[in-house]
Amino acid sequence: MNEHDLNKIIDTYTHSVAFAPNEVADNTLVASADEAIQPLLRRMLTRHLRPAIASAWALIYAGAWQPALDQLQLLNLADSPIAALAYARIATRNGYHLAAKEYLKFGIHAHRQSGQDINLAKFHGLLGELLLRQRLPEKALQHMQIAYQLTPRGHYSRQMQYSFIAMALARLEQPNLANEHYMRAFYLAVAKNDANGKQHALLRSAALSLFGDDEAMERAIALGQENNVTFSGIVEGYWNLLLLYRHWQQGSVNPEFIDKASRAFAKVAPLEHYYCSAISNSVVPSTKRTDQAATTNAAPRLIFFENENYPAAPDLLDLDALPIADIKNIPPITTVDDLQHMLSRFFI
Amino acid sequence: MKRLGIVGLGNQGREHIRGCLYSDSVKIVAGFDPSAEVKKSVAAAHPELLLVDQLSDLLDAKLGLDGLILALPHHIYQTVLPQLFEARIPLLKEKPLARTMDEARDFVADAKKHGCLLQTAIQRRTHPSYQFLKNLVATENILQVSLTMNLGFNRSPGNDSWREDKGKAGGGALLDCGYHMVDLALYLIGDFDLISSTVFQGGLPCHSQRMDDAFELIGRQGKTWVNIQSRIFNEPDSASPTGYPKFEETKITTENQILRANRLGVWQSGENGQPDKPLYQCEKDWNIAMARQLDTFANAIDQGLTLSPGSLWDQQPAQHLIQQAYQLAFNWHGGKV
Repeated sequence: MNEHDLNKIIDTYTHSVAFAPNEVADNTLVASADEAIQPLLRRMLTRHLRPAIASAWALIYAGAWQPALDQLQLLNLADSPIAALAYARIATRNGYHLAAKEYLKFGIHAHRQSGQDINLAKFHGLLGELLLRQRLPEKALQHMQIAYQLTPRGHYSRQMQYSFIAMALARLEQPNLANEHYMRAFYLAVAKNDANGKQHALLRSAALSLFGDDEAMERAIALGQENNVTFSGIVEGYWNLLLLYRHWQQGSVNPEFIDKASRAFAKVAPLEHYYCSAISNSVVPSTKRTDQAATTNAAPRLIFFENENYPAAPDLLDLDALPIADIKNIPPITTVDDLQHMLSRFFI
Repeated sequence: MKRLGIVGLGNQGREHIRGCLYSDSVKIVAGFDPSAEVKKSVAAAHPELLLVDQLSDLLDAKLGLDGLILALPHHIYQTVLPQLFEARIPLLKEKPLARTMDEARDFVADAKKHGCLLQTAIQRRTHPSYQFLKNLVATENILQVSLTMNLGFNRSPGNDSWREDKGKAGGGALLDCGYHMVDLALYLIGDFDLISSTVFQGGLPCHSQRMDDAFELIGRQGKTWVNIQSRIFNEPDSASPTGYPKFEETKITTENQILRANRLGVWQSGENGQPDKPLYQCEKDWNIAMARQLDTFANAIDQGLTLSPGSLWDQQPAQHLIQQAYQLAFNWHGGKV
């Protein structure tokens, strides 16, 4: 195998694997090879080493943010730029949006150069989420469309991408067009008997109630009953907040909905958990608050991102010109409109 | 020197009249416009021009015209071009190639059938600053080309201009100013694949029955990405603190530098707060660009060509991309190009 062939293999695989540099350095096989080939061999061997990125993602899904960061810090970002996606995800979900922006810039630049479209799609999709959370739906739509176009037909993520595009459309005053996409995602999930996909699509369709569609929740309830959909986990959390909104519109604030949402978000959605605190502190008299965690009113903290030690990357998408800011202070929620305003910032 | 007539004496027609003053190859000697008011205004500014009463007067052999420049509303060409093809007079038609690819194919087929030269006029690729920019980046590894244009017009309620009528114009921002920008991108880096396209009306995504007043395209050619965005109207946007003042800029990011260009020149972006370094400066107006196009037209006439350099088929990629962009924008969850 010559250097050209080796390069070709490396380019194909290198961006989808992780490696721990200290383990590679100890490997005697690399040390005994020609100097010219050593860097390439080192990267080839990483396929057999501990998959730090996969571990990090498992920790992210479990809401173990700091342990996930500990895993990621074993990696050399220049050699494993896909790790930037995990960093950006942790930063986004914990309110460190400036950091998320920097990791997304890095990852997009790296993957444009590598031509890894699937990974590039993931970065654009996460950037879309960030921009929605920052109330920049026009820009969000663009990046979600890029993610959609870069993903091959038949890929498992296409279904979710319809929902992501719909979220941006809903915020751009296109609830009917948004619902078209939610229904497409929903029925795709029904066809595949994908319970998770069904509840995500249905919840988002129900969330159109935040954007002026007064029948959205009733439609979602009816469809849910027809198709045996139950909400669980984080989806149940959002559903309870929608119920809070609906009941408040009708004249009453029920703290039970906030408590249920807060418990659902507690580990896996720290930003949303923080929002629940703000809602609870604003609208529920202290004597009636039942979820102790919801009264702490503390924004999520991850010291790693407060160091502002970001990877360098050109700002090809002009993200620095956008008004992106960390989520630190939640304004008080005193009216149902305040609640609608906050909820429409959630990445539902 | 070629003797040319001009049909359509609006803004674009007058750009051609001014441009020909900078050309040694052509002279515009006659013109026609159906508007008496427009004719009066042009007569005052250009008393040397013979202004005729009917389009067919321009085809009179006594005038001895070598070609015609056409600067008309987009929907008019369907009725005007057939008689001009019959007359086999060389034609320089203002962009776009047509409103749609099918219309473009019909025009070209008809021109070929009559052995008639049909060339499209589009200015940016012959403007000095953009030509300088292209040469500057010829050997560079380009990461991204970003083109931005805000026309800064004010919305006028009840405006019945043909440009506001989708049936007549064929499209809004994407077909109109977008055509210039897509063509410039093609000129700078060559053909590219479309990745995403969104068109807007009044700040909101719009569908095919509506007239777009803003758009944003993303494309790529290998590892070079293209971002093109434009807005017609000047109005504030809640997401942007600065609104949309009149603005045009091409920004090229390479591995080594960032270059900015507009009609006034080319600059190398300063790093770490340093000022931009001017690399080239020129006059903003289109006179040189127009003159160069007219020279190309004259040359094509001399050579008796029907498909010339800078000819209709140079415009095919731009026309095709615009059409794809509309399809992509309007076909949310089914479209993939």
